[in-house]
Amino acid sequence: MANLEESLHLLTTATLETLAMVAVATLLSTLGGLLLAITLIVCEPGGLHPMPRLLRILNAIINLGRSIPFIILMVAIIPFTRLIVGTSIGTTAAIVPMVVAAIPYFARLAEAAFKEVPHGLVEAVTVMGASPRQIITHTYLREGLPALIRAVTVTTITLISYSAMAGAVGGGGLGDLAIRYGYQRFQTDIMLATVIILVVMVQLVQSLGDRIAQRYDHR
Amino acid sequence: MVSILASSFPVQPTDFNAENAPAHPMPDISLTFKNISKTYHLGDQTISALKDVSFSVPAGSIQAVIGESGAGKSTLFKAAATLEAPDSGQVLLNNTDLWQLRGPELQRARFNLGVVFQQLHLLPSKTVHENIALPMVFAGKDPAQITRRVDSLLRWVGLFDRAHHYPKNLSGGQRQRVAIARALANSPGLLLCDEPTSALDPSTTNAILNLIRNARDEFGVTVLIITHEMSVVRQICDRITILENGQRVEDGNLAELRQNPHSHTYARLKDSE
Repeated sequence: MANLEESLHLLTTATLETLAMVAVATLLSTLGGLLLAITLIVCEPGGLHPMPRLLRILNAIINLGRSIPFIILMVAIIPFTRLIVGTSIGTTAAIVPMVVAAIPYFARLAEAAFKEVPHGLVEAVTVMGASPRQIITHTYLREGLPALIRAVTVTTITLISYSAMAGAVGGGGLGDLAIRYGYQRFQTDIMLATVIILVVMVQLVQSLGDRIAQRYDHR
Repeated sequence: MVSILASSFPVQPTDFNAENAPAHPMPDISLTFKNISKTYHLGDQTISALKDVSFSVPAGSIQAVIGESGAGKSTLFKAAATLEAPDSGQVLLNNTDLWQLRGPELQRARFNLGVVFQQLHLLPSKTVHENIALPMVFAGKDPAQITRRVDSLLRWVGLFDRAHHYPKNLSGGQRQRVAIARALANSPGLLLCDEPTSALDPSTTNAILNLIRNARDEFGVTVLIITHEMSVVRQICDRITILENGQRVEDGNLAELRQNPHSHTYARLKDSE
């Protein structure tokens, strides 16, 4: 009985840690990725303010970020993580590499969402006398919103899996629990429970994301 | 005539009522194309879309630019709609060259320009009401004024009960009417219509053409219609400009062109009826 209680306590704590990591990382990487994607769409040839050189630099940085496997990135940027949060171990520390990895990921998805917005809508709004800022909010952001919400959904799910990897190197959360108890102490029930919780989390995020995206989709 | 664009926009009536509107308010915006040329480069091919095209649309008139596909109609439309600069020449709204304007000045000039695109480009995520309100939002009008104006335009086009529908739930003719209402939202001096009836059945075509004529009669807006259909010309246009291979070949009213047609295009279009 004590064992079950202890297991439940471990699972609850780990689940809350994972939720906290994923929530904060999703928020920060969505904001960062969105700014980056807006810059890309503004700078591209035929955009509101074409800047080919800046575009090349940003693309190179994004591709670099996207090409490093998360588990390696996590270790490689430890000095940076320490600089930002003062430590390289624990839930807070795990958020730093998660955000660094997810910003270029979300930026690419958001860029694709913006490119789906028909150019004719941008032209129509331009001809109405919209300012560049109004063009961005009324066409790319508003008309791209369903695709952006789907991009946030995909990013959140990726961050859930990142958080499990972060757990493996002392980041806390469900991944940490699965490794330390499920794998190293052969507690199969804990392993199974973490997997079930992760599956349920992903399902919930996906169906919630689909529902919200659907609500804003009037095409 | 000092900066007509800045001055005429606030002077326009902003809260009209179709019933009390004067039959012929002072139309005051003319459109002039002066020596417009445009060449496209596709690989090692160069295509002269427009060659030294000059003509005027008098204030308060409805004028058609007619021609077969490839005659340069779209290029001319883009030049007038401030979408694609010509290589040379001027597009004058009264005395202001649209292509000399930059930034906020160009934005203000655009408030005096109503554009109905061939593909309409209604924003799918906005309701009918929000679509019509948009140009006024950009012009910085206050929300109460915008709502009054949108409601009155919706009554004018007969879609008051559709205010909160989304464009995808409207028929083609209804969408066209929303696009016209949206183009007229800021009480522009000039209405540009690109192939306004090409996707419509004959009876809807009539309704839309009547709506455009009413816009001119009731609000005094000057109208330029890009089309390849003689029926459009016959029904509402005061004057016609014929484009052929990027050149202006004929100008005049329908009676003049009937009596003394010079161009192949006129003959072909007339025969295709």
